[in-house]
Amino acid sequence: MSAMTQTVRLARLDLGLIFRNRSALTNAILMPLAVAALLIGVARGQGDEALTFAVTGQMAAMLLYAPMVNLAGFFTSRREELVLKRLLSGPAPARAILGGSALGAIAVAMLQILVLVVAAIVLGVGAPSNPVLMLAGALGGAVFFCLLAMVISGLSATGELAQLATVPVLLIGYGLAPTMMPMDYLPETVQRIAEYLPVTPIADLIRTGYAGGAELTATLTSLGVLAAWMLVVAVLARRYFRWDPRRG
Amino acid sequence: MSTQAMSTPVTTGTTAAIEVSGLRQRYGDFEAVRGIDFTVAPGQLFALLGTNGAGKTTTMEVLEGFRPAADGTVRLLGADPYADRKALRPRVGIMLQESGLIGDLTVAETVDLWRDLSPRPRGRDEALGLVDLVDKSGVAVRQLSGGQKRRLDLALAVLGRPEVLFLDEPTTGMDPEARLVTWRLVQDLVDDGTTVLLTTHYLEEAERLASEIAIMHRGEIRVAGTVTDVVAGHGDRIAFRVSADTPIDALPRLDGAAPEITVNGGDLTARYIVTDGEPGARAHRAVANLLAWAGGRGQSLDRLSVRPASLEDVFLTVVEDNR
Repeated sequence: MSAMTQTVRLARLDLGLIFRNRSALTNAILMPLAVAALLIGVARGQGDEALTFAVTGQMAAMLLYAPMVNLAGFFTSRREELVLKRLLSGPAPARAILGGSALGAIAVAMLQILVLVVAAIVLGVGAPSNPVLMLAGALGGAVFFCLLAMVISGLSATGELAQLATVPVLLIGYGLAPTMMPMDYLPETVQRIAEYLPVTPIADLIRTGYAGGAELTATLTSLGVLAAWMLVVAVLARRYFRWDPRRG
Repeated sequence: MSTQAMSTPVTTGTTAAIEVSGLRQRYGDFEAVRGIDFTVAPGQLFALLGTNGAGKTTTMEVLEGFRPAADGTVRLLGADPYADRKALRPRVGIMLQESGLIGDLTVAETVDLWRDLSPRPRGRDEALGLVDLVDKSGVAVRQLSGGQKRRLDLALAVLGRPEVLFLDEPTTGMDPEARLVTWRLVQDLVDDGTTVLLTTHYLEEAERLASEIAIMHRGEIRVAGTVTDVVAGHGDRIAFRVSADTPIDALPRLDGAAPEITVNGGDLTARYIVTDGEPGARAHRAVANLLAWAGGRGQSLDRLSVRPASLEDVFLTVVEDNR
């Protein structure tokens, strides 16, 4: 029984449970697609450039939901219900338990992105020009948000509080990153800061991978910023993630 | 209350399945476990008894590999349970004190999940049959009673045919019938050679299943050994009703034991705890002396009872004596 087999089995468990839990189904699957549909619908009336921007921006936004909002809630409620500890007492190692949940969440986000790719092709935006770069941005971003979900879970007492704690990140994801509209409307200094927030490089990498148009140095910078953020959340996840509920 | 020396396991030449020596564990300022030692031979059931907060679960958690030993050494199947967790995991079954099952899954789905995660699992129906839950296969876990959840927990713990099984209060919340099913299963596993470390609040459970017990109190093992030895170390109980015409100071001492008088309604009862002498003969001799005393006074003893100490007697002595 390899840890990989166990990881895949636990990912399947999580995927099944998302469909049984109405709030998970809404938060992880329906809401992000509904928001994307709305924003893409609005952008359609504003020309090809706006449409391409919206479709690719929403691909990045998909990563906020299953890998972060839902996973932070899952980890936390499972910890409080002692499910995490129960799993850890069993035959699967910690990395399969955490990796399985992350893998399930990443699979959901990738399928949502695939839906948007199909939508983009149908709407005439075309197919991804550099799928490898796009995938690197999407997968890197998904892993970043899974690690962030571990950090948020470690700092939250209940699943509901954990989901609430993801709201500021959602606001950054939509307001201080090029997911909904270009950041030109922001004041110069805020734009400068937003460049270095984690959602920006993710959106830039996906967009460049899809539609091209960025300099190599800009892409390398995006990759560097994302890698730095991944390192930061990995360290924080190690520090703050908990298997045991805090008692007493 | 003197701490009885650990009796060494009878099996020689084999290594112990569980070895704990000088284990200490603290949470902040609170020392939950204060230097305990015990050994469990392969194929034995060892019961850890004690009040809540005695340190039983903390001890279990160290052995289960959830936390490293702060001080002292702990060996499980000859390995370090924390550092060698990966190698030990498939050989060990754990039933935690609180269940942590996924409520949205059915009983069958829960077992199937654990079967898919385990290297050499029992079949689903076999596992559920062991704990008498086959007819609950299609029921969602959240709809099970507390006792049924405990049984499902037990089925999962034994699913991988573990060599060592940790049972932390396994029968809490079970009705008497489920408890019997569980005891029978645990006994069968022990008969098949499984080593079991059990914690329980039910002394009857320990008395029935354990080859050795240890009573913990405030982080220390206060009494340990086989049930027979432990009980023998706590004397035999003799009691009778004191007749109205017998002055209390006329009551004899029995092998050095003075009577303890309790009043129940209008009745006076004299109780002796006889601890001196050979456990096999002391009660007999004390009763012979008592009967001789009564014969000399020409009276018969009303409601005379003689019994060895029970585990409950020992437990209460430990818990009350050691503040």
